[in-house]
Amino acid sequence: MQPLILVSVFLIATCGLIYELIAGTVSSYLLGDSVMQFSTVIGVYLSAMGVGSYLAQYVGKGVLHRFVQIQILVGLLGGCSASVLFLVFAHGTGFLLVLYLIVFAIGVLVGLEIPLVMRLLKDHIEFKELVSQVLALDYVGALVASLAFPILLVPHLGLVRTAFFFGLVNVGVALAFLLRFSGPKASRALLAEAIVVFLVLVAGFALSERLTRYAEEEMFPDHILLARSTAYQRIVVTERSGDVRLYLNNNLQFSSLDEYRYHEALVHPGLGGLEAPRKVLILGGGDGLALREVLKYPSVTDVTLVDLDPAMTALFRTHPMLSQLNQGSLSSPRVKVINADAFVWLKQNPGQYDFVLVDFPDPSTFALGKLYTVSFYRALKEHLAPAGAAAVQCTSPLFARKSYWCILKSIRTAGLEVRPYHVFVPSFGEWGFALIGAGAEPGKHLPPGLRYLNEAGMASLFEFGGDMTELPVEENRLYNQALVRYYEAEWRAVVQ
Amino acid sequence: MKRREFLQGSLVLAGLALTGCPRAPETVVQGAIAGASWQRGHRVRLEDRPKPTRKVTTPVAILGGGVAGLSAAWRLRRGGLEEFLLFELERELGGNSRAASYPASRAPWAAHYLPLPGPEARSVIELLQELGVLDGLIPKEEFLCQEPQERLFVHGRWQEGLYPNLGASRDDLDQLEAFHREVDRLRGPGFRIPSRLSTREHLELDRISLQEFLQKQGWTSDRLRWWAEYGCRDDYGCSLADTSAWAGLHYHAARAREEQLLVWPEGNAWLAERLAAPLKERATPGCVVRQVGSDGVCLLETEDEVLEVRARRVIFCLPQFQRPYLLGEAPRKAFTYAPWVVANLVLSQSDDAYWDNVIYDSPSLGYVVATHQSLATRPGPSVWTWYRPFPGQDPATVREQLLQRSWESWRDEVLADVHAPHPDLLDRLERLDVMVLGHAMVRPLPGLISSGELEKARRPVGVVHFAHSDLSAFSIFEEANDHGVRAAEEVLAALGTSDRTERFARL
Repeated sequence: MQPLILVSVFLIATCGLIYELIAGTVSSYLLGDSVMQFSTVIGVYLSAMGVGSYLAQYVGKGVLHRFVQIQILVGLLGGCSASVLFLVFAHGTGFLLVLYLIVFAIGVLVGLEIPLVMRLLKDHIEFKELVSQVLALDYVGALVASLAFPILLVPHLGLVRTAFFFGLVNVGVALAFLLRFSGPKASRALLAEAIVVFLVLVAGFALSERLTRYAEEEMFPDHILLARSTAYQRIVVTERSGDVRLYLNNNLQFSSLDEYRYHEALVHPGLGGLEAPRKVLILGGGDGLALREVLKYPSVTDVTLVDLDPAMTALFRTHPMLSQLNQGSLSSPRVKVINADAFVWLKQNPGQYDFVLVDFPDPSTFALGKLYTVSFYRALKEHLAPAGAAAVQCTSPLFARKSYWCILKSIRTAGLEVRPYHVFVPSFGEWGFALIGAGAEPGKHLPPGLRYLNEAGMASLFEFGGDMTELPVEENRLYNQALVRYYEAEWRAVVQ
Repeated sequence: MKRREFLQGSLVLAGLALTGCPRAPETVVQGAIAGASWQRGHRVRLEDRPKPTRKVTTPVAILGGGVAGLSAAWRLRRGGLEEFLLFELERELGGNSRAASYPASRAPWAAHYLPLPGPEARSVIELLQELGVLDGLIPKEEFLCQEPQERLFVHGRWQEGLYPNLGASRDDLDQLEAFHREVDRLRGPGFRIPSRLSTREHLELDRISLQEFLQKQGWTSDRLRWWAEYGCRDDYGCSLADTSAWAGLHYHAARAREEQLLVWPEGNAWLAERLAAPLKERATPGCVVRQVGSDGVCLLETEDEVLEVRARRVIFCLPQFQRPYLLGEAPRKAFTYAPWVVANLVLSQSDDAYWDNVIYDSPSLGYVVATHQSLATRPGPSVWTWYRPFPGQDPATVREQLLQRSWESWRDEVLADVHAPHPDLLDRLERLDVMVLGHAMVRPLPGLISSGELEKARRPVGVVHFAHSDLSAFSIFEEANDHGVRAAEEVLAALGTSDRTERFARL
């Protein structure tokens, strides 16, 4: 009896550690912050083992029977752990709860194992030898697991198959015990249980490839075309079935399926309202998409685009798929690209423009908040030609209603005539803009080839439903940063 | 060297090369102890009377080129009196309103902000209007301190505002609110800026310290005491026990609860330099005053000559502790001065948004960021100005110690102080300069303001008129300006100059 039991001790110790490593690795992989994930997983697991060891005293007669049951259960839970965690994460909610529940349950069961094994062996081996042999094998098993996991198992089997494989080992131990010790008296129910779990795990092992792919597709819906960290931001471009998306610091900037709605609405009401505009200034908009719209006006001879990040403008000028999106606008001889901080550049560079486009990221930080202040719009005013116009992206009047009207009020406080308008962009939702000082009829002279805007739809942009109308707000100034506070509160409410 | 030792040595070197040598600050950070020529300043104590090598006469001699002296000159010029001479010990005018210059930015050496003046500070308002800071009564936005302004490093993290809210109990917050309510109650004619215009209605508060005042109110919250003491250290270089309750409360009650601040990269040097610019050759820096006669005859030493200046009127804009040496008066023990140490840290890369950055339970006052008013969205190179007062200690003893200390010891103290919030600072620190200000600020000890000493010290002696912020018992721009303007108006009246402007300092 002893050799089989001692071999089993080694095997179940290996399995126990593998499950712990799987849980830690999966959660680090999915959530990041591996120190946090490993610490909490190990902590929960070890304390659960303590609970298991404590509970072992309440196992009365039928130690062998219980031990086999525990093996089957550990095999099932541990074997399925990785795939369950991936699937739960892919489907959104409750990942952490499931993670810690699984880790705790496996921990309790594994904690029960060693005390029970010792009781099985206590009549066959002297106590001092029993303790040292069992614990020695337990620790050696842990060493083998911890070395095999990163070197052999994860690279060759992958997390999901590794889990199923060790589940099978646990069930194998259960079957060996059943067959070797219970003989013909072996509980049929237990045997059936073990065989069913064994088959489930074999099936899981065989299908793991498909399971993994399913889970990953759920998690990362899009194929990552490009990910680059510049001095200023993290740029990620994804693609899926022709939908190219740009994320800056994890915030969606556009989806190629509907960006035309956003950029047509940003550019044409203002620029199309002017008679033969010539000089245009674009602040932000390093993706060249608004620029693409601006270049549709043959009268425009001279565009200055000021964007902070040289990596961004270079990428959208040279990358084949991205420059196709903006129709090579950044390479146009009519365009001068300047990489500078917009507010500082405005203060330092005189010059007046027929049309100014302001397309900055949303005011999510104090630094970005400066680009939406009364002072900024005063500086902007200095750069507007006498009959000139400007358009400003102003975040969502629906999700961030106070923020939207705070921007409008700040523009007004700077002494500019402003008209609020909005558009629906499916990937963003309801989006708001401000039109500064255009002629009487916005978008009167629309260029040909627009996909969304037409003369009939133009008027509807300027109508606001009851849930987006003006609210009393403070204007945004450098010394109060009211906007950043509105914005933070409003988007926090949306996320929750 | 044996083969084995050589091998061991190589292994150690290889190990260091792999791990990257720990960098010692000595090898990286440059810097020096700047400014304040105390050796020359202490010549005022010498007993000998050097023989003049040159004699000068002038209608008015202004002694001291700090904010009081510069304000006196400004007021004389506005009154049509252009003929005066100004003498200053240091090589640059400005006193506590001087600044350092670095490629990254200019940065203050001491005074670094001016609260938006209330309606009583009429001369400050006129000055700010003249300099284009105020448009009528509306401040230009570029000068108002941008948000976010203040943060506090407490319990290992930054929180907004200076009151340690993190972990404050209900009782702590109730006591803070009670403090604010009491200040609201005190607001009014009893607490004015300039303080000369305050009525005597709350002056009994000057007889106790702010510490006793808090005790009497039953306010025992550690957080409230820390916050209130931070105010005393920041404004006066004093501890709670060293600060008159009237002075401590004046800081709050004489200003709006949500006061706005005017700030410049170079601090109040922005103002001082604009006051100094029109003086040109009428100002003589680097000049030690050795004797002042009540008849207007003064003895001054420059580097290469001894001047005898005969003035019809003298405006004495030096601190009171110099009067015994210069005018031969009995020592004025009521006036004591808090020493300060200021460090400017030049950084290749600054942190985010906040202007005033305070560390809870640190002996320092934290630091202000010179480039705070920048319009850029990305942090770049900057200068941080770090302040350290020495409250609760005998100023003379502290001054003795300060003169012994090396630049290295200051560097280590500053770096240790800001290490917890900025463990990576050494990677960005390019230079660290230190200035020791032995007599930085007069101390509003309990009893000084109500003693009558201030009024006595403001009285002219012969043809000598007095102007300095210490005549208000606390060192702020508005008080220095008020005394400079008042003394200048006394002189204009005495000389019978037809003053073309309305007088500010009517009492």
